[in-house]
Amino acid sequence: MLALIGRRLANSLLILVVSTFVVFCLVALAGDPLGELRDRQPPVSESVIHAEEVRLGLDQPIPVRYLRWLTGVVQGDFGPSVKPNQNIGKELAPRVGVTLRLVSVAIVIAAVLALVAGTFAALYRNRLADHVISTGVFVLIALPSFWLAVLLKQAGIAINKAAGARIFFTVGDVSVPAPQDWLPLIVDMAGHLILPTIVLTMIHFASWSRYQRTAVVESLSSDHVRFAVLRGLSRSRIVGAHVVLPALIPIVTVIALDLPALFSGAVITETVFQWRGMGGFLLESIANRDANAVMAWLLIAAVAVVLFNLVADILYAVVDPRVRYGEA
Amino acid sequence: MRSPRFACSVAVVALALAAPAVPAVAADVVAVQDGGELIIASTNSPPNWNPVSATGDITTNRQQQWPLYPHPFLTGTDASVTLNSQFLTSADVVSTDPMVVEYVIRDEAVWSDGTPITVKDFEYTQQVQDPRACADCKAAFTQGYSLVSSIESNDSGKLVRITFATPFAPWKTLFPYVLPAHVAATYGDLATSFNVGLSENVPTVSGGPYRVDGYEDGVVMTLVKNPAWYGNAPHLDTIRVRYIASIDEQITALQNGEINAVYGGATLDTVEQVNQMTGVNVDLGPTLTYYHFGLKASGDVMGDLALRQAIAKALDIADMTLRTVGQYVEGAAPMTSSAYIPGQAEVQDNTGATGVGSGDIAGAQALLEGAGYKLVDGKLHKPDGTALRDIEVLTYSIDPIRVQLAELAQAQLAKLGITVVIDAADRSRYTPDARAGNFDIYTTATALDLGALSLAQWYQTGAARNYFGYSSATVDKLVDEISLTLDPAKAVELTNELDRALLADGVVVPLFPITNMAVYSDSYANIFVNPSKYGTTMNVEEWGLKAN
Repeated sequence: MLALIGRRLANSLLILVVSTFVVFCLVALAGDPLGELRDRQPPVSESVIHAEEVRLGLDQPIPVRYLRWLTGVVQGDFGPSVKPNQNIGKELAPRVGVTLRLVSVAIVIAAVLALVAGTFAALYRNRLADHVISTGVFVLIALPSFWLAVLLKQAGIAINKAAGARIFFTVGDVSVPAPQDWLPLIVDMAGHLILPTIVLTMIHFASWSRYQRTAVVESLSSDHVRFAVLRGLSRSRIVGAHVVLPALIPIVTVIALDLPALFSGAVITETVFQWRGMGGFLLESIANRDANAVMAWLLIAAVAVVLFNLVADILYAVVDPRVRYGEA
Repeated sequence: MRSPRFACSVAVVALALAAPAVPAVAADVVAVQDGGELIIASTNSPPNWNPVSATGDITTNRQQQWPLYPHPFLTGTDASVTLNSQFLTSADVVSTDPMVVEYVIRDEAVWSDGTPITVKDFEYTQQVQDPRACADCKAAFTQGYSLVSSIESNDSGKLVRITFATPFAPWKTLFPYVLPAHVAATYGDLATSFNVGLSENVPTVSGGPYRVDGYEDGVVMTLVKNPAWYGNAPHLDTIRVRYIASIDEQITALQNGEINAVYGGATLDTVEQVNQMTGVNVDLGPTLTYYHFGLKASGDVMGDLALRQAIAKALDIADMTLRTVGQYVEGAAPMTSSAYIPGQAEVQDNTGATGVGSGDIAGAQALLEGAGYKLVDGKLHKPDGTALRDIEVLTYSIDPIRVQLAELAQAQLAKLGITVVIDAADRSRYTPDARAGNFDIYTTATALDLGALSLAQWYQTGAARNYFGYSSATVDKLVDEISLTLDPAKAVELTNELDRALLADGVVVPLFPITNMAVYSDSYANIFVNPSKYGTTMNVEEWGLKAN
């Protein structure tokens, strides 16, 4: 197992270096980060623009800039940002924290709901419960997440007005100014979490529950389940031990592959609800043509991909005995 | 015809002159109570803390930092510029040869730490924007400052006597933010203090009605009253600037009571959205920035004056105004000049005088026929008999109004037999393509805060934004003359002459001013659209909760 992990990490490192170079080139060629400065009215002097080019290394060829960036990253320096006052490294840490806070709850709720709804729909396949769940899920899949977010915000505002109190919040992760006492602070933060969590939960629950339904349907028709029925095992034991457990493998894979994307920023949800997380950081960096900032985001995202793929591999072994036996 | 709002502004100006401590910014100031708090949204947090640095000189930053600095002049809601009598006793040109300007600072004017605001602050502010004194200072704007030959004072330091080597007519645009020299001195030399000290550090002192009490990057800036403020007492105890990147989300937050005010550009969508809200005041107003078409004045096709003039005549400014901004701004006025916006005292009907933007298709056709062009099977042919190639309009895909303007131009020029191809460029290509001259007609906007200098940056021979290949001895001479003319009336006369020369050469078709909106909870008052690039905080000390 350790050798497998070692090989995976070595491959990941190579992929990381190649992908960072490709992305660096793409961002560097995507446009002029000083375009806005050059477009000022009245015009900014050429000497100032040249000084900015030197500060950002734009006067160097792309391979040199990449090597400079790579050398800096190894030493913990993500390089200068287009925003002069932005320290990319210092900016990232709180952003990761904000995103984690936003997505953690949503992932847990979405995964639990998906497991329950998918299993339930499969067990009652082609019956009313399945039709209701499947229809609801397809509606959620079809809804663009930004639209769902906007609808929820309007609903939240309507409820607030009806209640005469601000229960739901539409921007940020905490009120401005934030409550000073810890209990009102927690309540306030929870109020800010409700709507974005619902959006993220709904989006992921919908697709994950379909995977779970399919996996359970396949599991139900497998030989070992028929054998368990013939052995006269109770329905609850068959479902719990012989149907649901093997059916977890696909959903574990799907969730493990979705998680890096989530942790690197729920871009649309963060944007609509104005959370200063990784997604917002990426959008802002791309808009500013800020190559170093985009690269810093990429590093975090890539590490998350590697990490969660490893976690998925380990989880396979946990939930699927065949993986453990195969290794043995 | 002037609106009641402008008439009211005149009255306020008159009052201001009578009582020097009252700024003449807002037209319809109402009584407000003292105390309270206001949260106003901003799309950007400060890129840096130095509002006159190259990277710090952006609209949102200028607006947020306005309450922290002393300013010699204020721009009214009618775009008139008046002395800031809260800061200065007077500011006048006392000699024209050489040009000498004397600013007299009020004795009471001090920074929030008690240090008097003096000539030293003016000296520092001038030096960091003068490449001769500080070549490494990354200043946004150096014009005028580099013409200063000396700065003198009296014993108190409250007299600032600035001598210019050559006259600089728009001298009132200088020193929009007077920087604290004593704070800068703690950061090191000129370049270090300007580029690093004042840029990277949250301002510790204030020379305006408010000071920074707290800042959370990308989330909020909290302003509280400056206890040492020497002007009219501000009303609100606290103002928080909350950073919300999208104006749509700002409006939703306003609807939910999470913020109290939104200020920014108005679009059909946002205006419709705010008009459906209850409990808010909506103030729409023109800014000094206006949309226009810039016509290339060189090359195989656009180098022909007759063709440019015909295009300029065929385009219909009034129709474009009605079909764009007219959809959401009642009484939106089209531009009649490329030098002044409608409503300014100086504006003249120069488009009318030159026939530009009249939508006169018959007149345009007559111009073309006179120059040898012919319409063959609905397609315009050049005097040499070949068909006119497609005309490319470069526009900005991110701005729906600019895209719409290009489409309207396409439809209007089709009547002349001209086929227009629209190139809707994104942010990465829009300006580079313009700089490279990859267009025939350029859909863009100009800020008129610098008066005739704003036109010079586009149309003077070899100017930084002259992407048109345009050169005119008449225009160059007028620009030079205006920059030396210290008599305001004469300057207006020359600027209108310059405007007519540009319009007659068919290089610019002015369209309409960009509209801004101030939307705020109706429990507050005195928040207005300010047409200048410094924005709505220009009268921040007048903001407040409505009096009971």
